[in-house]
Amino acid sequence: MEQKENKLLINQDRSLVELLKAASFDELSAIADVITDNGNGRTMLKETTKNEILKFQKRHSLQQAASLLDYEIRAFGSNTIVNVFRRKPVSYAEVVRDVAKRLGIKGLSIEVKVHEIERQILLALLTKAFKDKKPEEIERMLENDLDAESRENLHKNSRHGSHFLNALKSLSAFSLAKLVSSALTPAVLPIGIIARAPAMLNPIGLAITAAWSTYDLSGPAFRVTIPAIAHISLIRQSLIAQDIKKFQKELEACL
Amino acid sequence: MSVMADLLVRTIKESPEIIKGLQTGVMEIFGGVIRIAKGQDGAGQIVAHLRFPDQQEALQNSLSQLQQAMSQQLGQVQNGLSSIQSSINVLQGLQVANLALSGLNLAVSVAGFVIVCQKLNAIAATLKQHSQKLDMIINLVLKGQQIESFKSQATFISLLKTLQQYSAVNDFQSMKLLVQPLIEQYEMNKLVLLEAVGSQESFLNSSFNELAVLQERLMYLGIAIGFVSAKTASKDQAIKHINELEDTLTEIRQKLVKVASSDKVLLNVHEHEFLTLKSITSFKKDISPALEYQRQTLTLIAERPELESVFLQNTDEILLIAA
Repeated sequence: MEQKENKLLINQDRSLVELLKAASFDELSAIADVITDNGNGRTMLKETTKNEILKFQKRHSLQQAASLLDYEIRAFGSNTIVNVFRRKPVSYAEVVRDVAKRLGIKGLSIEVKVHEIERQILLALLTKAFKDKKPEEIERMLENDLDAESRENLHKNSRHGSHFLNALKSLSAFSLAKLVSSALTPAVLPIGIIARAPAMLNPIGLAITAAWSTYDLSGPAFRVTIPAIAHISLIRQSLIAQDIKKFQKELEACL
Repeated sequence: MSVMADLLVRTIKESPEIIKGLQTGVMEIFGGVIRIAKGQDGAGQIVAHLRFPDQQEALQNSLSQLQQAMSQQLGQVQNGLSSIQSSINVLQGLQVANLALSGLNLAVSVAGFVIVCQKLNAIAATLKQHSQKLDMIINLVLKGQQIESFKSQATFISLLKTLQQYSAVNDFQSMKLLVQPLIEQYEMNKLVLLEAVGSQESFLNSSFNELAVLQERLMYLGIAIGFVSAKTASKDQAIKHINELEDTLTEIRQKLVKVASSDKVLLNVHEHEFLTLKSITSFKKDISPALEYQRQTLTLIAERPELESVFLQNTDEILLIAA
């Protein structure tokens, strides 16, 4: 009874499998592309697993493969942690904490929730990507990927060049997740073929991939883990945003 | 050739550099040859061969000369050895001093550790005391808040009960005296509610259950003020108070929805708190028919005072009053 009373109205820390089950097909498809390297396969991915994921992707029923995607994301994440002797993949929370540690994020006590660590990872990647760029250059890069309100907010919070990177902190978790996940999703070519090379990423995506290589995160496992975290964070934040809208409507209905 | 012979064959007396070399240790005698000593430039190189005299006496002379030269060198070596010995003595003394200092250092470290431990214990004890004092202060504050809450509740209940008594005996003069405390209570509740819904921080720091109670109390106070006004002043005045109450409740719920709809609040409230929030928000909507009835009744009585007795009489049936 006590536990029930202490339950927060909006659960910001849904488990990975819960998130994947609640995600849209497009969101899951982006994750499937990351895991299978756009269907080309990866050394660390079994051929049968790749085919299974591609089968669900082709049928537009990736929600049914939520458990499989959950397992593979954690397995790739586990390969980033030295776990030669581990049979089972580690939890998603552990994967996220490991990436955060490698990015040099401090203060990761046990109380810090996964959604907050995801946010800090995205922020750290963006900050690193924009480190040597001028504020005008960054604003130009963000022009197409941020909504007007977020851009205005960012502009208001950044008066000088040195403060611009700090101003990124003012972005909501949803804006950050949207920005990074879209930057790390390769552009779809007019002929419908998904571009494979990083050269097809937008300028922010290129800057981010360059940034994470400086953090000793350039291994094949991280090429899956980091974009996966960005996409998962977007799914989480989208669900939170949906919940917020739902409860706002409930309150307005009481008027 | 004679020059060559001069250079090549010399007596030991005619070779001061060899004597000096032997004395300084640059050269050494090995059987029948003199070599450059180990550790010198050209070590091992033969400097001269010795040709010992055939006659016994001459040999003894030569040997004694050589011995004299060697003994001088030995003396120098002995001097050197004694100076080395004294240096070793000094070093030994220093070593003992160093050992003593190390021991002292260890003692200082141990003493330092003990002192630090004692200080840490003292800090821990102080922190414990402070924590106990803080707990005491928090308890006192909570008790104070509870007493304030009881006082406020007692004032509210006593006001309404007193009003009920005066009303029962139609003591309008005494009723008049209640107007000021009723308005004071009303304004106090209004201010507390408006402050709570004024910002996200103050809203999140408030008890939602308390806000619900305060809002309900505000309604009772507003209606009570309207009732007293109707009895002691005018019906118009009473309608004005009912309208004011409605406006206040509207203002509160609008501000409440605005603040409660923010991401920060929604992400921090618990499920049961949200139910309370919905109940506070819908309160005005729920009581609107009752307020409307009050207003309409007061308007009707203001227009047709003869109908007041109809409204005051007890009835078990619903009465229809022709417009």
